Amino acid sequence: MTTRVAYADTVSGTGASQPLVQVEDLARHFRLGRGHVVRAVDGVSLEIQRGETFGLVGESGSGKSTLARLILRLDTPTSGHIRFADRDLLASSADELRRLRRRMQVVFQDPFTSLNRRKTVEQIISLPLTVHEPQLDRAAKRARVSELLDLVGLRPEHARAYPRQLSGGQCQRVNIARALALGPEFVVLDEAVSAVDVSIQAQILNLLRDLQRQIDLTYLFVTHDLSVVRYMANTIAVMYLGRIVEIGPRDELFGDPQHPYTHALLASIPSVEHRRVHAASNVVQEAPAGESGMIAGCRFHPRCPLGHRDVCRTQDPQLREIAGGHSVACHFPQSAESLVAAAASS
Amino acid sequence: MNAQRAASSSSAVLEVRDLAVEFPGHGAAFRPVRGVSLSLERGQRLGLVGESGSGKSLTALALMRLLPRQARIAQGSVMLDDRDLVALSEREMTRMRGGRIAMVYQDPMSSLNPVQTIGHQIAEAIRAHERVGRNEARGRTIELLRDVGVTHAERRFDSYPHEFSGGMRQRAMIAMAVCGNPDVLIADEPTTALDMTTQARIIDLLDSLVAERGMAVLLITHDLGVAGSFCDAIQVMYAGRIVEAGEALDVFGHPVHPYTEGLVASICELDRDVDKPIVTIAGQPPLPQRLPHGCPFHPRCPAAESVCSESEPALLQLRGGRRAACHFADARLDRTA
Repeated sequence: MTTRVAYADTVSGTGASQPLVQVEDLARHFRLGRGHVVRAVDGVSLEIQRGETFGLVGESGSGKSTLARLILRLDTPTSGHIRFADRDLLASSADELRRLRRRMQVVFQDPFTSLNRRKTVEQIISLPLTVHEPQLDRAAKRARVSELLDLVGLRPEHARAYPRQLSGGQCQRVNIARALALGPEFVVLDEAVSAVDVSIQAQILNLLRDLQRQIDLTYLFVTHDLSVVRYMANTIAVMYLGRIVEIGPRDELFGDPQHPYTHALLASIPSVEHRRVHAASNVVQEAPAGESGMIAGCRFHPRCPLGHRDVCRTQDPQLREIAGGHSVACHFPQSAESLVAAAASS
Repeated sequence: MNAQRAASSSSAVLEVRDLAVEFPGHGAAFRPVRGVSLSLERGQRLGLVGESGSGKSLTALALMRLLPRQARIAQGSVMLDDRDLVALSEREMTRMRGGRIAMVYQDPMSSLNPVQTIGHQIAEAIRAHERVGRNEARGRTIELLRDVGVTHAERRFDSYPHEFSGGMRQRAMIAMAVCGNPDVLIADEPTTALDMTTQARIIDLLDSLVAERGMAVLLITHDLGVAGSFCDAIQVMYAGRIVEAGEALDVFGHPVHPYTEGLVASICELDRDVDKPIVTIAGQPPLPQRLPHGCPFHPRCPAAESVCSESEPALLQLRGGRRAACHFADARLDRTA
């Protein structure tokens, strides 16, 4: 895409080996009054390399969306550091932040509510151009919009359509086109395929992978779906109650998962091919209602089959590397077989 | 019709025949559900799967006689044992609902009254079906909450919906649905709004309820994994009709209809080859107002021939209890076997 040329100098200037995003010890706490604090994100560090897809997986309340919002600077962290393209996002002036923001974009879950239903597709996609590139005339904008429509697999006549005239899959393509309008390097996909049907999900996943290759994008892919994150991401972090509990390259993490929570997530994936075995999903207790952050020791211990051990109740486990780039925050990391055995014997 | 003959069996508790739902629409009326037949035996778990707009949820609402005001059941019958629900008066139907046939919805938060306690709402439901005193209703509610896996049921009786987690709310909804000991439970996307680990446990709960109470469950879902892991039998809906039906393992393992085949191929499963693109079905489902002529799937079908745009195939009985609505069903079944 043409817009990317403008960034060529900044990109090459930062050195090829530098990660695009660096997050260090990031925290976001919400005060609820009466001394209650929810630690939505609590001490998260990660690096996202240029051109890769970083997968963030977890259930509701894990803090994955809050973390994504912090990285986009749509929310302000309580503490910690975020660097984007080697700039300190938290120390940036409003002016610099605006310039950086056009290099990072986001696509949300609900394809319909994230589009203004009173605007045509063309107006929706060209709005970021109007804001950030006011010098463009109408013809130039129109040309850019039709280029973008083509890129995401929509037809030129869709430019005049309103969101209600489009299907969910088409709306999500419009959302993606809008996110790409300014030629970003980094796109956050927050449950971007979770609300669409199976056949449309497959189309969108293929599209996202094609786009990444064509225009050299870096993705932060946020989802609750392990199968999807495995298909999309090179590096995956599993979050639980504000913490990364396991992180690693795809093949290591899925080849030899070590955290009991990762095991539980994997065991709860239903399969079309067989009736699920009950025991597998019963490895963990149901999530307790109420806020996080008040649990002493390991946050997962109340649900963990190994959580009755003293150290789990008293000491918060830190991420420790167990193999190349594969780290686990558990006092007793283990493979699936030994976990099931341990749970059965307890 | 073959499909109807296949559906009729003596032990069925619920037998739906040729059901159609009609909306008035601008200009011409249209039918998002066009002749759906299904049959459920005691203790059976049938999955009705399809993408949004396929008519699966409207089918469920029609069975409960809870269609939106402007819609109507245009044809067909819904036999619950020997009574046709379509022909019942509103008063008689109210007694049936919850008593003989009950439903669980996707979003437990919007189906529960936020300003009444969970226990009160379930106890009310019990008292709506039976003449029991407050104390007995309370006792039965606590017992039910325990049955569906709500811990500290006695204390939770006085909790409000917002004090429950999503999974616990869905458990409460299920408790309310089964409190009248219905023969048939319709579960419309019961786990879609829940977390994965919670979803697995709710499916386990439905499993045990079927085993203990012998209820028949009609599970309506777009999630083929959920359907495959819970159901004995599957019916696939497309554009308001059943396009394929059979044993769950057969339908997903060896799909006959090109739509089912496309759906199964497009699931992003855990063992998928990450280096290859996902095989997808081109295009999108048609709107019920604008169905293509002939087979409604033909514009998206990779195997379509000229006959497919000319006439709509009937749902034919094939070998092994399988049914499929495709002009080439027989040949395709031979190929998959």
